[in-house]
Amino acid sequence: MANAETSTAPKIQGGETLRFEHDGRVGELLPIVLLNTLLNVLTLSLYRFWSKTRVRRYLWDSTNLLGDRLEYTGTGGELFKGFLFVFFVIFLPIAAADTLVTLYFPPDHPIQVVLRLAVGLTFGSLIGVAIYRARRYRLSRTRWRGVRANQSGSSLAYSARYIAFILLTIITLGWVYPIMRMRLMGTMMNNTWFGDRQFHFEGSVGSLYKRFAICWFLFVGLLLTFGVTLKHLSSGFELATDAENIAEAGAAMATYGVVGSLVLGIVSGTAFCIYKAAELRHFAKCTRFERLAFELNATIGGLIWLVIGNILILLLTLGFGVAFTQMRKFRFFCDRLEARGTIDADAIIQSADQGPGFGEGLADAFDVGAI
Amino acid sequence: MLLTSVPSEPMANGAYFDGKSAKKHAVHVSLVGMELTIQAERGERLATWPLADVCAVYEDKHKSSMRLRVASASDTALIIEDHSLVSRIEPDLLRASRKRSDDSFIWLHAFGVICATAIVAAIFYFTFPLLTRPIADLVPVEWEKKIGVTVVESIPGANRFCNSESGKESLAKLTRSLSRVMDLPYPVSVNVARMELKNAFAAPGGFIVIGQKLIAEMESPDEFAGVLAHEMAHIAERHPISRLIHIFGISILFELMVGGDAAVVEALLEGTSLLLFLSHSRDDEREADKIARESLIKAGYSTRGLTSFFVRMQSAYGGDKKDALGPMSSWLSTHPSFAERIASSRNQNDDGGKPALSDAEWFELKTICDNNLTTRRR
Repeated sequence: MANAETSTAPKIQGGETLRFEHDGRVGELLPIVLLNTLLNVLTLSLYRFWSKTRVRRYLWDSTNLLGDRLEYTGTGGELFKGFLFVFFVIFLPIAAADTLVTLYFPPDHPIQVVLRLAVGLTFGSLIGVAIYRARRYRLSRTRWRGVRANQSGSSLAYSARYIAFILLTIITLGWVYPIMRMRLMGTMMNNTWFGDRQFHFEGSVGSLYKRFAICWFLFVGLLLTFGVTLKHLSSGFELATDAENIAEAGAAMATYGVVGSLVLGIVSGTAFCIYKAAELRHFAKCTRFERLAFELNATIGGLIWLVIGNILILLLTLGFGVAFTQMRKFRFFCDRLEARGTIDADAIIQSADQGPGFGEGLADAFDVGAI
Repeated sequence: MLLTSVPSEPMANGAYFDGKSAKKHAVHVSLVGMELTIQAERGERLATWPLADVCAVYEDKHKSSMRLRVASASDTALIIEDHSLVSRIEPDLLRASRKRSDDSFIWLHAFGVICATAIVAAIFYFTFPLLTRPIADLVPVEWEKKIGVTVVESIPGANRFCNSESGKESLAKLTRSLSRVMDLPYPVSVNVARMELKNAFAAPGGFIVIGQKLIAEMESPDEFAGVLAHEMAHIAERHPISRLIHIFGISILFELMVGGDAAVVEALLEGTSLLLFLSHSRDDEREADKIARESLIKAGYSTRGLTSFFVRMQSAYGGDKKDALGPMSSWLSTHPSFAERIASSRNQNDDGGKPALSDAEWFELKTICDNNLTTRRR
């Protein structure tokens, strides 16, 4: 192979560490976000497909691996086509049927119940499809060194798993959650490709349960305490006889309600981060690509800071700053993700699959797009 | 002179991705005529790109390196870090080189989406009134009546009907003669009620309620006949149920169209849908005024009452103050301005026409709430 000598990219050998770098800047993202915001307002949000695309191009482009930038090749037009498809083929017929049935039959007619059930089931099963298909679209529009990523597999199969696990999670009061996360992630990662090479995801869920148990008991314990004390307070409210006592008890209850739900929110948020940090680390550990093993140095503190910062950004910008939260996520992963092992990048051949022609209509409708 | 006629070809080193594998080729790039020639270090030619098909993006802030793409092979890319070559080729590229943050932004797209939004909004605006009536015709009367009852019950005092016998007779007489000349989908049920609002309304299912406080303002039976004819015209056109369908339809459509990213955009859309609804509501009122006038004439009544009542309501409700807000106030209102309604009713003032009720009948109607016998319906 004469060409082999012309390669400037050394093979990554054992012991070497491969890092992602992210050099996106707030100062460069800001003009993008400002113009996008203006255009979204002017177009009653219809511009969102193009504004999302522009932000993605910037975020992908700001990420490099071994000195070569990722590229995002999707277009706003493709997202818009996805939206039109879902709007006309799925939502408009459902909405029309729904409207006609609601209007034509009296509210207490049994067909109303059948309709609600049918609509609910359709939407429920479409959420999993939306998540899976959106990921397929994004991967197929992601390129590194001219080679596309991809995702194979059936979105309906994913959706079936998704629904089954959600139901199981509810039935078991949350205890299936770590298994669900592992299985769903496994379904995605094992179907993920870069060029002609497949990712592998494998591992036991056992190690996640220690963290999960701590968080579960923390959350449930607090919830119970909150409920019981509130009940106690409200009985004081019922016992109160004169107006002054009632006002006093009412004020105490309101204060307790506000403070209590705030504390509950903060504690459950923290508990979630404690679990999530372990989960992210575990996911990375279970992932392999060729002879590369991954490691994600996700700390609890780092994750809490990411979450709190992003919530504040969204609150302060009334939701328009969502691109900044995405950049922070990118940075979080790029700063903390490492790959060790060997890989012969030169030998990776372009994927034969071009990916879907349009995408994310469902993800847009259900608002499940991660980026 | 001879020397410069054989210029050396501008050359640069770069990296090339051929789109077939993830291999990074170290290459020499040279400009030959209007084409970039990409050669491997050993000399074999990997690709030839006509400059007119090439576009470029600066890889970094300092514009020291540049990524070139060619239209004909979308997976390939060429990265060069040589300023002299860059400045030579830049003027001849497909389009001006851009910063990374500008990549993919096209003003034409933005402009196109703005125009498309305006067109979609216009389509909504014009087709909604056309669509709501046929859908309204699908609704069974029985069910429409059920909704009507709920509507009446939800308005404070609207179900505290007044029922002095003689007053009810006057009311029934007027209703009958107007019903004969109107094209009603089902019979109306008209009542005067001790409603808190000084107003009158028509609810789905043919329920018309006229507030006691409104009657107190009226100076002649013609004015009452005008208001009644207006409310009955709403029923004749099935406006109340059409409006419900309108609200329902718009909320569903907007729900489907809007992405959930920004709270402000959602608020904006709610505002837009309200403006749309109000505008159509004003169209309904104009139509009802027109039908009311026609029906009054057909029934042989004077239409003067309609005009004189609007005039009085205008002065009572500080029409001047409202006008001071300018056109905004008429946009934000469910009804057209009194000034407009007076003008259009004056245009076709007829003059003939008998009084709608005799003085005695009118007295009974005005005092319909005077006995204490009010009933709550159902």
